[in-house]
Amino acid sequence: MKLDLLYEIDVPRPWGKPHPYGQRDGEQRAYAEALEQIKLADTLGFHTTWHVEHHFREGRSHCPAPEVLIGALTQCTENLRLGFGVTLLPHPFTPPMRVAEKVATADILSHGRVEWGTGRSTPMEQAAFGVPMAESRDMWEEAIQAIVLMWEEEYFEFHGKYLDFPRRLITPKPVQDPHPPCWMAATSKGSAAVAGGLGLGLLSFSIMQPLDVMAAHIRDYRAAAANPTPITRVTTNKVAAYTLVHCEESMAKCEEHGIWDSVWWWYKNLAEFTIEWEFPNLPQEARDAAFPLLKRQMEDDFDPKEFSDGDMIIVGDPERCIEKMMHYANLGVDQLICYVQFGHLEHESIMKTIELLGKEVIPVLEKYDVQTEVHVGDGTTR
Amino acid sequence: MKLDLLYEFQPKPGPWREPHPYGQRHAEQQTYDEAIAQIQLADRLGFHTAWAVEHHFRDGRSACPTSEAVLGGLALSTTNIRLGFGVVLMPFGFIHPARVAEKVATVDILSHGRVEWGTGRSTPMEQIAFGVPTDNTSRDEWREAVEIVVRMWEEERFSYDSPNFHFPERIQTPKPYQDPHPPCWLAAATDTSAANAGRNGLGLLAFAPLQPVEVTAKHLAVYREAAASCEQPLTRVRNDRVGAFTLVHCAEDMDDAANYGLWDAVNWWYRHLAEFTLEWELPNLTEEEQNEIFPLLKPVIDGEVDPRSYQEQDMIIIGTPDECLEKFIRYEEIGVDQLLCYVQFGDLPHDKVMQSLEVLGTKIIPRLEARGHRINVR
Repeated sequence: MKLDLLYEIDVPRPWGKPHPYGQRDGEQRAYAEALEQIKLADTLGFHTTWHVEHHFREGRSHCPAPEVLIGALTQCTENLRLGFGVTLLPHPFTPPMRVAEKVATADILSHGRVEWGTGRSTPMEQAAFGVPMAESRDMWEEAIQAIVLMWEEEYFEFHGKYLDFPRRLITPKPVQDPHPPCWMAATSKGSAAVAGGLGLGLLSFSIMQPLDVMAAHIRDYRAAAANPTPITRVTTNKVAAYTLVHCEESMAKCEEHGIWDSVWWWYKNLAEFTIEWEFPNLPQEARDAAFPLLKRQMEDDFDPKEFSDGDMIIVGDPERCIEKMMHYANLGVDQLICYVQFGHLEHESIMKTIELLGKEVIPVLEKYDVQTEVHVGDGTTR
Repeated sequence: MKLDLLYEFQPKPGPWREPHPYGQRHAEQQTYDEAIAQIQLADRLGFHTAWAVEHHFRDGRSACPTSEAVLGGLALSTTNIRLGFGVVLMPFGFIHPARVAEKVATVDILSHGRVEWGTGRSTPMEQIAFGVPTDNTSRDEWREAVEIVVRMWEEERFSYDSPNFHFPERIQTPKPYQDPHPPCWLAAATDTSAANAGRNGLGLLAFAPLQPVEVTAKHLAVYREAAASCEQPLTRVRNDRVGAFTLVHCAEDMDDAANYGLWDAVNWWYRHLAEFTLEWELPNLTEEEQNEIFPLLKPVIDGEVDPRSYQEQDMIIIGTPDECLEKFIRYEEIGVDQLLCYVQFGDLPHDKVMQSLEVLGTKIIPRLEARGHRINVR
């Protein structure tokens, strides 16, 4: 199992100075620190760094333009793969031509290191861009088909349900041949099977649910992935899951640096954000189903340590982190995506996390033989 | 007058030896690697701004539709040179204004405040592909989109409702580094657009290689007059600078330059532009417009125009250091503040472009600096 990174560029409130200076300062610091952290990770054997496309998610994520950040990373990293986590595909977000163009451009700038994650986003963003929720899956699918043809054909023309496009030459083409591997962000039970069936990698989250629920998603994914009808020209049978990760020399050090405070902030803020921004766009039953732990978290009625005890997040010294990460490996996770910049964690303690993971955890994981029968990335079973 | 750079990321000209897609792929990859190395050198030599185009589908002319990714890269691989969006296509069909606010601000953050925000509307071959109106409605959309972006940077919570654009209340992130925001420019090919730029307090990005210097001078005069009458800039930053681009190559030994294909490269650039216009732009124009433009294109396509005539008229800046300095000064005297040097064109070998940049940086820039500047840019 590999270790990846995920950055949302968190800028927690309060922002201190009056608008806009507090926001500006916080954002500039968060970007600068993220770059330093990723450059360190590049030297320590991390596999991929993923970058979200989140719009208007103040406090939680100030990264709506991952193509810019990835463009920057192409120049200051050499080894890390660079993941769009994800590109939002329904057309009102981005015309498919622009997705084809930006993924190819990043692939050229990085000399072939891009991972192409795809998704549909959430209601608060869909509403802002005028994406009809009910059609977003169909739009996503048509966009992928069009983009693959854009990379493949010399002159491209397309007359689909959502995209009507005259004959043009699409430039540039990607470096990876035929194109970067494609992934689907999937959180619900049904979507894991969709990803597998279409031959796409699975980008999965664990922090919102207990590990046994994620395990079920992965089983559904592998079952579907065993017999795919690939929607792109590259078949990917891989699971990448993200969670909060923090690693220091001892648990005491983690606590000294305010880890539980930051974990608590992450969950509480997500609950507040969902209620303020997402709920107005959701029907009642969806609200009830949307977020299992939401109510408790809003009411401060939870102990963040529970998430760690349940391995839903990974916090501790290297030995403890290894132990928890092995549970993920045993479920068949190919790439564990470490979300390291969250809450009020100091930059130095995040750098320490990356250093310890790189020096003490990655080498162990490289040698680890998965303990359970799982379907590994190349389709064999052991 | 400052020296800037303009890059279209023009792929190495065909025909390519390898079959599709490998010919195109390798030509594009090569142009990117070379361009970045050239811009890094220019950064060390004191060039002022590196501008990257946003061109979509421009077969053979440009492989750069995603300037934000390129400028994001340059933010980290350069130190001093400013980074110009040359330009962001603003009408709504090209892009949602929030995406413009977001990407320009993000490059500005990563570069610690080095962005120049050029804007434009593009041409019919792209407008049609994106569902953007090809008539002057696109100018209205350009204007509205610019206003929206500025407010997105300015306001704490932003919402908007007009017949053309609806947006529910959201908080915009991130904010730009420059305060209040990067300087804004308008790419203008006509006198009407030049006046529009001036009247709105925006910088002017002009096209010099397609017309005699006298015509460019008149164009700039229209701009200056309009700029003088600007009471309320469209953005929160008043920008009265003129940028003009043309082909530039400076060589100590012009016989050697002829041998390594300099005039062939110039010839190729004009000829290919004419061919491209004929194939991709003309079909979108009215018959009347086509009849007007075609006679200008035909002699170029037929190879009847000697590229040296462009140089003699100073439409392009090609020559020895002394010859180039003379031509640069001519542009400075008609009021150009920043001369955008288009240096990667045709089949010019990369090492010769690097050499030309070296000569420009060591022989020309110091002499232009010594002459002083109309305004203190930066």
